[in-house]
Amino acid sequence: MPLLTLNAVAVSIHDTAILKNLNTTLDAGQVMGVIGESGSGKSMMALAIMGLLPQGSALTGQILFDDVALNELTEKARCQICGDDIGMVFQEPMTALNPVHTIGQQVIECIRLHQPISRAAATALASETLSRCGLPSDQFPLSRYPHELSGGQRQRVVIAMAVALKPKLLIADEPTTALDVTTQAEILDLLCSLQQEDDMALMLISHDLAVVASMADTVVVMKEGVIVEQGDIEPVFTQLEHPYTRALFKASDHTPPRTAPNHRALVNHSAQSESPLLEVKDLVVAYRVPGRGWFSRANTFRAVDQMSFSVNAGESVGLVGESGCGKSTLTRAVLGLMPVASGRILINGTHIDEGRHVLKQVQVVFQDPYGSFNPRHKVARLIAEPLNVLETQPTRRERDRQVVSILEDVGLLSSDADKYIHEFSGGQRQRIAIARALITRPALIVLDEAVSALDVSVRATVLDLLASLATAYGLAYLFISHDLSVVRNVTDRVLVMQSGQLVEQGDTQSVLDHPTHDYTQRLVASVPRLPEYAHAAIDTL
Amino acid sequence: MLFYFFKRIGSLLATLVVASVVIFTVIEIVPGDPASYMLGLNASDDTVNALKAELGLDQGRVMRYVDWVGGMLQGDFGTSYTYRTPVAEMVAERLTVSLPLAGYALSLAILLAFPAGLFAASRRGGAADTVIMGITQLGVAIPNFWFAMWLVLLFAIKWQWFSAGGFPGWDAGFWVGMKALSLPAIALALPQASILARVLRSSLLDVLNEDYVRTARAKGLTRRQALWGHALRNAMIPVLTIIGLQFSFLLAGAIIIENVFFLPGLGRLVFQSIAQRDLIVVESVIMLLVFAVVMVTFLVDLAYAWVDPRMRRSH
Amino acid sequence: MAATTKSRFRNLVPGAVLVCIFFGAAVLSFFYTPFDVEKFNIAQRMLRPDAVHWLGTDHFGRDILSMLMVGARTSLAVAFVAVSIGIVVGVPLGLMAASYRGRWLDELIMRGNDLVFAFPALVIAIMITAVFGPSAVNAIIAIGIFNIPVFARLTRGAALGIWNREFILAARVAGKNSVRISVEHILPNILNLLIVQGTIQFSLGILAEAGLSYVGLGAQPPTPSWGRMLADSQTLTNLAPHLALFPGMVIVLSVLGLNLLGDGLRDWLDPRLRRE
Repeated sequence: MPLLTLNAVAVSIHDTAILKNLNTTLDAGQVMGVIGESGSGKSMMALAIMGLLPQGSALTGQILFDDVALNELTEKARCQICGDDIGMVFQEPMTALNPVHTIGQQVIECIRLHQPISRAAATALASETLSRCGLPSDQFPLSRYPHELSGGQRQRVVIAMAVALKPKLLIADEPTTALDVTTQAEILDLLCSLQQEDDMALMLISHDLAVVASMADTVVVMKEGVIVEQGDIEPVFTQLEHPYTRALFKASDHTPPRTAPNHRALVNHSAQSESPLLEVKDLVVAYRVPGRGWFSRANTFRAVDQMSFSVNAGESVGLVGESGCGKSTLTRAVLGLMPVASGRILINGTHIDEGRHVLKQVQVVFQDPYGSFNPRHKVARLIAEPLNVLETQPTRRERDRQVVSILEDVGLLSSDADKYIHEFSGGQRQRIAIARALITRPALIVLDEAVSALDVSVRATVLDLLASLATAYGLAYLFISHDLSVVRNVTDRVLVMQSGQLVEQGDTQSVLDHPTHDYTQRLVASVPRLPEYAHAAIDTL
Repeated sequence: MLFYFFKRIGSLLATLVVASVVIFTVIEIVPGDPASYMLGLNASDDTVNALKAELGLDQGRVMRYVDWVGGMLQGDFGTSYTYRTPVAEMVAERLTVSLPLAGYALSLAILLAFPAGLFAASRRGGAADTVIMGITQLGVAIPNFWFAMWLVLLFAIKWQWFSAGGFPGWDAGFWVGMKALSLPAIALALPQASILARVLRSSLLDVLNEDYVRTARAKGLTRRQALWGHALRNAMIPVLTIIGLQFSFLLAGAIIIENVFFLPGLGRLVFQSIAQRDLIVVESVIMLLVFAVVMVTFLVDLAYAWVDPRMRRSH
Repeated sequence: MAATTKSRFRNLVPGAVLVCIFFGAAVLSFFYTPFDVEKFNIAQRMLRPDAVHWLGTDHFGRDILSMLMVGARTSLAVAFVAVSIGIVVGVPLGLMAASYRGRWLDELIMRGNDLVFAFPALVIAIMITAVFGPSAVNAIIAIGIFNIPVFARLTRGAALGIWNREFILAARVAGKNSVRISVEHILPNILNLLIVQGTIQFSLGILAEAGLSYVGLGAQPPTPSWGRMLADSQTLTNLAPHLALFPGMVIVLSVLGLNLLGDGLRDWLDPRLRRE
C-alpha cells in the first residue's frame, strides 16, 4: 500500500496545461527524487499535493495520501493533514519565513495548530526540534528573528517547522539550490538523517542529478509537465533509456571542446608586453561598516584582503568560493567599479585607473539573464553600450555593423538587434550578454556566475560558445563560480577564495583532485557526486 | 532599539527647529508692521512706538525669534494683536474642538476601513470586493466639504437629527459635544476611510503573494488563518504610513470642515486671524499644526519598529 | 486571455473618456460658452435646469454650465501646473538622492522632504495667503510645493530598486557616470510609476484647489472656479440644491476619471500583468 499515489493528475492554469497525466507512487519511508529542468512542472506537482496551487488553477485526477483523496477534501480537512502528516520545505530560505515573527513562534504555531498541547509543551517540542535540526537553543534562542540568521540557518528553521510533528511525508522543493555548496552538504545530511530517524517518506525535488542520486531510492524524471521516465534509481541512472534522461546526463557533465587560442588573435593583445594580461598585486578592498551607536566608531571590513594573482592572455582561470567570500567585490575592483584601498590591478602592465583604454580590455557577463539588461532598450543599444569606453566613438553605421557581426558570432540573428530583451529566453539572453562583452574587443572577460542560472542543457551550449569564442577572439576568462564541476570542465587554473583571501591556487585538475588547504578539501568534499554506476553509464554515452 | 529611538528624536527636533525658522521668516516678510495696522492710520508715531515696545516688536529679528521660540517652550505663545489676550489661551480653547474632531474622524476612518479592506482582500475578485472597491473609488473622489454640505442638508435641515453647525461646548455634556462633532467627523472620515481601505486591501494582496504566506499555508493554516496570522501584520507597514499622513490631512481638512459647520476650532481661528492681520496667532497655530504632524510621524516611526523587528536595527 | 484584456481596460477606458470630456470642456470654454459668465442677470437668478439653461443659473443669474466650463479651466490649470512643479523639482531631487544613496546629499534631500511633509498643503496656502493675500497662483504654489516631496520620495524609492539591478553595473562597466545612468537607465524604468502617480496627484490637486477656493484661499472672484461656486451655494442649498449639486458632481467625476485613468494605466503598463 503506497503512502502517496498520484492518479492521472493534471493541472491547468487559466486553461494552459501545466501538468499532464501524472501517475506515480511513493511508499512510506522511501526517498523519491524528482528531476527536471525549469518549466518541467516539478514544483507545481509539489504545490498540487499540498493544495497550494495558484488561483485560477484546475486539477483533475486523484492525489491519494494514506487512502484519502486529498484533492477532494474541504479546505479545513486538508489543512489538518498538511503540516501534520505532510511537511514541506521550500527553495528560497531568505523569504520563506515571516519576518515579523520569531523563529520560536513560527515553529510553535505549527505544533499548536495540530496538537492540543500546552504552550509550555509546544515550546519544549519546538526547542527540541530546532536543536535536532542543528539550531541548539543556547546559541539560537527561540526569540531570534529570521533576519538575524543566515540562509542555511533559516532553511533549518523551515525544516524544523516541517518535521516538528514527525510527518509521514516531507516534500523538499529544491531545498539547497539557493545555498552554498558546503551548506548544501550539511542540509542534505540533515534531511537524510531526519528521514532515517523518523522513517518518513521524502520527496526531493531538484535539478541536480548528483543530489538526487546521492539520496533517492526511486526517481521521477519530468519534462514540460509530463513524467518521461520513472523507477528505481539505479536502473534508471545506469540504463539511461529515455533520450531526455540521457541528454540530461550528458549535459550535466559537459566538457566543451577547447583548443588553444588562435595565435593571430592573441598577438593583438599581449605580444607587445611581457607582463601578464591581468595582474593583481596585494589587493585590499575595504568597506566602511557604520558603527551601531553614536560612540562606536565606524569599522572597516576587508572584503578582499591582500590578494595576488594573475591571468595570462588566452587563459581560462576559475575563481571559486562561497557567498560572502569577496568574489563579487574582487570582480568589481577588477572592473574598476570599486575604490582600491591598497595594492594594484594592472592590465597588460598598465594600472586600471589610467583611463578608459585600459578598461576596454576587460568586460563582464553577469549571472542574472533577466536583471542584467535594461528592459526599455533594444538589443542593438544594449550590446553597443560598452562602446562608450572607447576614445573615439564609432559612427552609427559602423556601430550597427559591429552589433550585427557580433550577434552572428554568438549564434543569434542580425534581426534580433531590433528586439527588446523580454522576447528572448534565458540562454539567448546570456548570449546577448556575451555579445555585449565582446563589442569592445576585450582581452579578458569576467564571467561572474555567468552560467549558474541556466538549465544544464542550455548551460552546455553556452559553455561551447564560450570555448569557441575564446579561440576565435583570443580571449582570456576569469570564470567565477560556486559550481566546482563546471570550473573543472572549463578552466586551466583555479583560485580558491575564503573570507577575502586567496587560500589556494594552481592547475585546476591538481587543485580539485588533490586539494592541500583545509578549506579547499572541505569544498571539494561537499560537492555532490554521481555514484559510480552512473559514471560508468556516462562514459558509455 | 534605544539608538533608533534617540536618532528619531534627534531628527524630530531638527525638523521642528528648521520649521520654526521657516515659519518665522515667512511671516516676517509680511509688509507693514502690526502695531500701525492695529492702531489705524491716524495713530501718532509715539503711540505706535509704545505699542511696538509693548509687543516686543522693537527688538532685532534674531532676538524676536529667540523670544518667540523660548516663549513657546514655556507655553507662552505671545499676545494676540487683536484681542490682547494670550494666544496660548485662545489656542487651547480651540484645541478642545479641533483635537477631538481629528481623533473622532481618524477612529471612524480606521473602524470603517479595516473591515472593508480585510473583507475585500479575503474575497478578491468577488462581488463584495467589486462593490467595496467601487464605493471607495467614489469615496476618494468626493470633496469632504461638499459631502458635508449634503450631510447638513439631509440630517440637519431636512430631518433635523443634528444641528446644522456650531458647537455647544463640552460643558453641555460629553455626548452633546460628540453629537455636534458627528457630522463633521463623518464628512472628514469618509474619504480617508476610502483611501485606507484601498491601501489595506492592496497591501494585503501583495503580502498574500509572499513566500512566507505559502510557508504558513504549508503548515496547515487555512487561507483565512494565514491572512490574519501572517499577512495582516506585515501588511500594516504601508498602512501605518498612510494613517500617519492622514492625520495631517485630517488636521488640514478640519480647517475647511470647521467652516462648513461653523465650529470654533483652530481653522476658524486661523481665518479670522488672517483677516485681522493678527499674525502672531497665525504663526503660532501653524507652528502647532507642524508640531502635531511631526509628532505623529515620529509615533508612526516607532510603530514601524514595533511591527517590524528588522527596523529596530539602526541604519 | 480575452477576460484579462477586458478587465485590463475596465478602468482605463471610462477614466480616459471622463478626463477627455473635462479637458475638452476646458479648451472649448476659451472659444465658446453657452452664455457669458461675466454678465449678471438678476431677473434670471436661481433658475432650475431647463431647456435654455441646461444646468440652471446661480444667484446672479449666470449660466451654471458655462461657469462649470470656465471653472474647469481654473481647476485643471491649477492642478496641472502644481503637479508639473512637483515633477520638475521632485523627480531630479529623487534621482539625485538615489544616486548618492546613503551619503550626505541623500540625507539632506530626504530631511528636506520630511520638512516639507510637515506642512500640509493647506497650511502652506495659509502661510502664503497671510503674506501675499489669496490668489490662484498661491494655490498653485502651495499645492506644487506639497507635490515636490511626494515625487522626490517616490522617485528615490523606485530608483534605489533599479540601482541594485545588474544592468546598472553593466552601464558602469561601460564607463557611464551617475547622471547618464539616471537619465538613460533609471528614468525610463520608473516612468510608468511617475505617470501613474502624476494622474493621482493631478486628482488630488483638483480636490485641493476646490478646497482652497472654497475657503477663499484660491481663485478670487470673478474668476469662476468649482470650489468658489460651492462656497457661494452653501447658504442657498435649501432653496436651490442644484447650485451645490452640479459643481460637486463635476469635481467628483473629474477626480474619479483621473483615478480610474491612473489605475487603468498602472494595470496597462505593469509588465507583470502584461506577461499574463
